[in-house]
Amino acid sequence: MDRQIRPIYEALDTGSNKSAILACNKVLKKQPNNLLVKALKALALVRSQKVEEALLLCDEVLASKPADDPTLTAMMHVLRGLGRHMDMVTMYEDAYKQHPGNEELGTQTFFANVRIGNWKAAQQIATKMHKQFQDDHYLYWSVMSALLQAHDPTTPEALRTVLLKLAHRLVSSSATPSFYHADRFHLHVTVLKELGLYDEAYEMVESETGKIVCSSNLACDELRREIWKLKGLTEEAGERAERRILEAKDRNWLEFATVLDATFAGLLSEGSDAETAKAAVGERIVKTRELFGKVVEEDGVKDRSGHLALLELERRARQHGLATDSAALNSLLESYFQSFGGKACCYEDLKPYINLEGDDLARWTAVLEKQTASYTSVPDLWRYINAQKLLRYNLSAAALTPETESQRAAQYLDAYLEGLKLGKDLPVYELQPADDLAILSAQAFVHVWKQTSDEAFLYNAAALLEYAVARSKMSYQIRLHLVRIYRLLGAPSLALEHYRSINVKQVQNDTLSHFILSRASTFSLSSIGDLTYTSECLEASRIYLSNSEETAEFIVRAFGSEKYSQIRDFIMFEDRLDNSLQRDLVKMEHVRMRIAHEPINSELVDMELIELKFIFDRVHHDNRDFDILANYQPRSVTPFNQQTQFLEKTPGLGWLWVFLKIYIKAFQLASDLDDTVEDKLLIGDRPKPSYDPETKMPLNERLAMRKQEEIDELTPDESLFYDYASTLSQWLTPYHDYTRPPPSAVLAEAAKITEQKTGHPLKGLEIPPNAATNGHARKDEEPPAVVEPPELVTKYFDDMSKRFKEVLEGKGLPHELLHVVTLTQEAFLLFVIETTRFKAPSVIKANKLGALAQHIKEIRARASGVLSDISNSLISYAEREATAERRREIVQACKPIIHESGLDHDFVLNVAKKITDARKQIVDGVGKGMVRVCKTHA
Amino acid sequence: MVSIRPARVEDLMGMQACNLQNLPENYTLKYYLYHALTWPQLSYVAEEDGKIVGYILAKMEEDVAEGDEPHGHVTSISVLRSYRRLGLAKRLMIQSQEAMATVYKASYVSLHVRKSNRAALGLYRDTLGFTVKDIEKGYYADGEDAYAMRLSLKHLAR
Repeated sequence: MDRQIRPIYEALDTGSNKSAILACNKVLKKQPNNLLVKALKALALVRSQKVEEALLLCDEVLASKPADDPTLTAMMHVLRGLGRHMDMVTMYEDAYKQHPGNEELGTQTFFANVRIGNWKAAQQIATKMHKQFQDDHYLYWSVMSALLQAHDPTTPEALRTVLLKLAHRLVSSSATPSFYHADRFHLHVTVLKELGLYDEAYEMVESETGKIVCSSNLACDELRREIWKLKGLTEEAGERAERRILEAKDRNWLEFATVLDATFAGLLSEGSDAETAKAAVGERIVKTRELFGKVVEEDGVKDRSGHLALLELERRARQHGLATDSAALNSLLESYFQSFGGKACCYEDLKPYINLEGDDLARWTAVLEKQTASYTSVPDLWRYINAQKLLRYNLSAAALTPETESQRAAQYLDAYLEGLKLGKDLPVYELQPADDLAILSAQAFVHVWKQTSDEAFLYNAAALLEYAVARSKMSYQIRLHLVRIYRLLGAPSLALEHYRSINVKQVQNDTLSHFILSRASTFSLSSIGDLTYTSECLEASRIYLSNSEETAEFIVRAFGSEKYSQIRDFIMFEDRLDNSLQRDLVKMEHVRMRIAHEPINSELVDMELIELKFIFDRVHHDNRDFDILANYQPRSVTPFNQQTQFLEKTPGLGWLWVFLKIYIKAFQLASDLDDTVEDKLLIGDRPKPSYDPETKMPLNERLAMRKQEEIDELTPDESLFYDYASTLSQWLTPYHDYTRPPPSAVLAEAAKITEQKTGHPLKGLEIPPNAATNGHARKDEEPPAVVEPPELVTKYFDDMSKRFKEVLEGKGLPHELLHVVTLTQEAFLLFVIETTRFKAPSVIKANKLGALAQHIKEIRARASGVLSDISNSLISYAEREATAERRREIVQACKPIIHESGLDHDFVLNVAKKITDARKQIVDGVGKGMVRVCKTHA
Repeated sequence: MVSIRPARVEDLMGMQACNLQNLPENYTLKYYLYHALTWPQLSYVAEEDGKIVGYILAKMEEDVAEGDEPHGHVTSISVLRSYRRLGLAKRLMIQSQEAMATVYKASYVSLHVRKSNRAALGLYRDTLGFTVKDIEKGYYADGEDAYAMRLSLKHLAR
């Protein structure tokens, strides 16, 4: 036997699925009922994407309720590959029932439930196993499961306390005390904490043994701190922290923050009268100041903690009206700048403390202005850079005219070029110490662009940043700035080039891909078959697959090795990635690119419909990082991130919801799948039901809901598109509903296709005999009367044609032009999706919808006309773009930054060429793509 | 205002700034998760106002050669450029080393550094007291050699 099976495993291990299947067939010929071999064949089939055949075998094996370890293991992989985690639970449960004395099967059943987050069942199994096998760790599994069930968002409020009490009862019943095992101890204290039993929790962490556990386990120590806080032991914690600072020389900010909290705690306590409390706190402030002063004296400039603590103390004292010396804050700021001005972090350090006004501001500004440029050493240069950033932060609106800002931009740039000399010998992977001056200059230019709407300033920013990045190749900061600016300038290929140079990896795809993929369909050339942006979407989404494949296994392993303190972290992490907003924003962009490239048929429509409906039930987490983009704009001005947003709107949850509604509705109309059919044809589990009450409403009601806060996230053109899409689908709904074949016919068709593919009928389907005759069952009702198309639909394309001219003549930036154009094309494609059903003359005839066909024809012709006009304009726009004259204009615009050597005329000309080429490529491509889209769907 | 605290899984999302600048090697999601789960005491982050400005990812050596003693290994250490020269790397390293010695009884800690990375080499050798033990040819994906360095932890043994 082993001799026959081994080659199968070997083939599977080396990824040769084909030979694995062959080897399986060989065995199955002689032993057609060998379950293990069937399971292994199913696995090889899943891995070679032959899902239908795999399903068949998989169901056969499941039906015979396997209970031996090799078959179960093989099936676990098969089911995981098919996304059928629920079936995995059933499989192990059945096996465990057959062999209730088998501990391993019990464990696997528990794990199967853990994987799908079924904490209730997990808790019951663990309790049962504890009774049966008398091993303590099963008891703790059940405690943890009860705790997790209490935290599950789907658990009703009232049940939570019950579950926590259950967890408490269980953990108290343990034969061995929890402190023998740090993680069990952690779990025990957590249960007490969540029940609000702070005294008991405090007793545990402060007991002899508890102290030992906390001293060697950081997770427990963090919990101990939390318990102290919850018990309101702010004063005691403060004293303890004070000792840590003085005796152990601990410079962790946590300790300083604890002392600060303790200093001001008196103000929060109720009961005592306000004046007495204030006086007492005043005295405490003096003492704390002495403490921090001592730290500063001891540390000098070796450590920033004491200095920053003094600043924070002063800030809080001012906030509570307890500052005694009005000049103190200024003195502290000056001394901090004196001591740490040469460190790169000085600006970030001081930012929270420099919201000054009046005389304070004047004094502070005077100090900074005295800081002249010096390029003799890196700390000197940094001192100058910090002074510039700090000065800029407090510039008043009056000091920010386009002229003064342009002057500043030039001044920062000159300093940058001078500062470059300091880093001329650095290895290529190092950053130039002067980089931030280039960024300051670019941000000043962008600000002037915002003020004047003159794109010349964006060219200046782009060219000088290109110069800087050539000298600081690893500067992701400069590259992110360029990505933003190139998107505004309509040079997406350059943006992508810089984005790729950042080398975004793993989880960063989730947090950073918004820089390049937000509204990426605007910049996609999928319509002419260029799939660069499309594949970027897929690339960025790979992390979500790794997450769903891997993270759950780590949760299982955390149970296995009893790392209770980490389980919730892993669960939260998995959830944040799984339900990431960015994930679905990218998905939406991918759909928008896909429809411009692929034939619009039932395969595309049905698949996307199901996926988008799943997304529509999710509760999202926004993991996008916008703070990574440096902001050196004055506090009176909008931050750089907002200044460089695409048309001043960043897509968020509301935006996603609108586009989901648009596309779900469109695909729903186009699709023959209704919910009953979908259930039968779906492979794998449905996602867990969401706890958002809104998802409990009927889908059609949800799709029709219009919310202002969602619309607020749209650009005006997107908002118009939304109106168009809603009106269009409303108009067409009755005709679709009348024409759509009945579910039985759809299933019969699906069964026929499956049988052709696999040679076996589709399982679990009973097809009524009359359904299989043809797709158009005879209707009892009369067809709905055809009404005139609404004006919003008929006029939409003409309106967009006007919008296009408006932007073109109004000299809008290229991204705005592309936005208008791609939305117009998308409106056309949406129209195609929703009218494909009515293309076949037989359908029109059978359903007596001739009048409708006529309307559709007219609208389509009108839309095509507009698209081809726009296309012509775009193509000639692109021609004008890539000319020597246009490049000269850009070079001319960049006069403020052109220098004698280095950043010279030739360098800027080269940047101008890259920009105009990139722009020509996208505008020309989009233009040609529109014609192609029209032709494909004529 | 830097706090050093144990790294958590979710910190992965906040670590991009450090990684963008300083991490040329490709570590998979699994690799991070494995570290977090297996040696939760050895990895730390430096946090400032909720922003992660540095971290150390470390582990215990799993295949200890015969005759060798149990020892730790620094997989990755990174401090945001603007937070350099503040002693953060040293503080991160010391936290991790203490745990290696006390929790896992490590007798020394090892790490690899690019031959060309003079700044890092200086930090490990001069500030932290590591010594070069060996040169590993073509250790990095791009073919560059690595210095294998180590530091005894015997003085921390409790």
